[in-house]
Amino acid sequence: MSSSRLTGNILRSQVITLPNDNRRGIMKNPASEASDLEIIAQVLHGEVNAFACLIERHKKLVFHIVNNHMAAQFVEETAHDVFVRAYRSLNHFSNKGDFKNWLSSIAVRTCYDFWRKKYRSREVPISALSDQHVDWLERTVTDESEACHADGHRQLEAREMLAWMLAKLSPADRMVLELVYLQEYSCGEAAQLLGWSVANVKIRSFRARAKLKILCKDLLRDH
Amino acid sequence: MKLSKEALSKIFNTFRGVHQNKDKVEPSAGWQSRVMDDIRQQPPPAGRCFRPVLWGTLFVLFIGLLCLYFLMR
Repeated sequence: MSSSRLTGNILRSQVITLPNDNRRGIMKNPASEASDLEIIAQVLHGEVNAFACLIERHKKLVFHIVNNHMAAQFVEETAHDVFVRAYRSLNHFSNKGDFKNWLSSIAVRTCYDFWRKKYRSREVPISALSDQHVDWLERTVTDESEACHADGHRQLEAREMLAWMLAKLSPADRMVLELVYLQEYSCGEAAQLLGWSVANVKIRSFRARAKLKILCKDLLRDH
Repeated sequence: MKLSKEALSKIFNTFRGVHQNKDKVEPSAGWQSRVMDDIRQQPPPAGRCFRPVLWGTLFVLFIGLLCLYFLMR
């Protein structure tokens, strides 16, 4: 397992605290939770500067989540929006819940809103694919070995191809596909982060995968 | 070219690998202070007293209207 993959798993275990986390042996730290709650109480009593502690403590988590859904140039701006949004709705945070889970769902929903806004205003630039990209797709389909994306050039082509395909999907399909298939969250975890029902996530993820299949088929047929 | 289930899962595995190996973005110097500047300009989040204040106001209004009704009779 690569180190970045391991870091991703560690961060994910911090984000979601669902019942199946007990099976994985992940324990919550009550001390850190209590201090988060104390800081929130201070902020709600008018000590705005105390919010800087929450930013310092959770910025790594927010950047990790936002980076998974955004191109690098939008990450800082979106992470900024996440914290402003969290501050504005701090009074809606239930003290019984985990602040990390609450902040994670705000981060995911902010990314979703970002793509909805871009999609509505048709601002998402969809770059044309070159013959090299279609060649990469053909090679991936026909190549017997699993290590067909090992070299740097092929990885770049795969990355550009993925960005092109995600830009073709609706924001909801894009978010579900990224969460369920690319980041390997369970449907329940994705539903919690997006604030949707599990059934909705299952249906959307199935449809998004089908759309991706159609895109691949069209590319291979046109070539 | 026909796209089989295996071929599609191979494409997905490749995309997953590429997605999970994405370069990390770290906050730049001064990012946190910019966020805090923005937050200081925001109206304060309504505290926990919001709901009791709302219900208290409605209760006082109701009693007032009731008194007005009996005085005007």
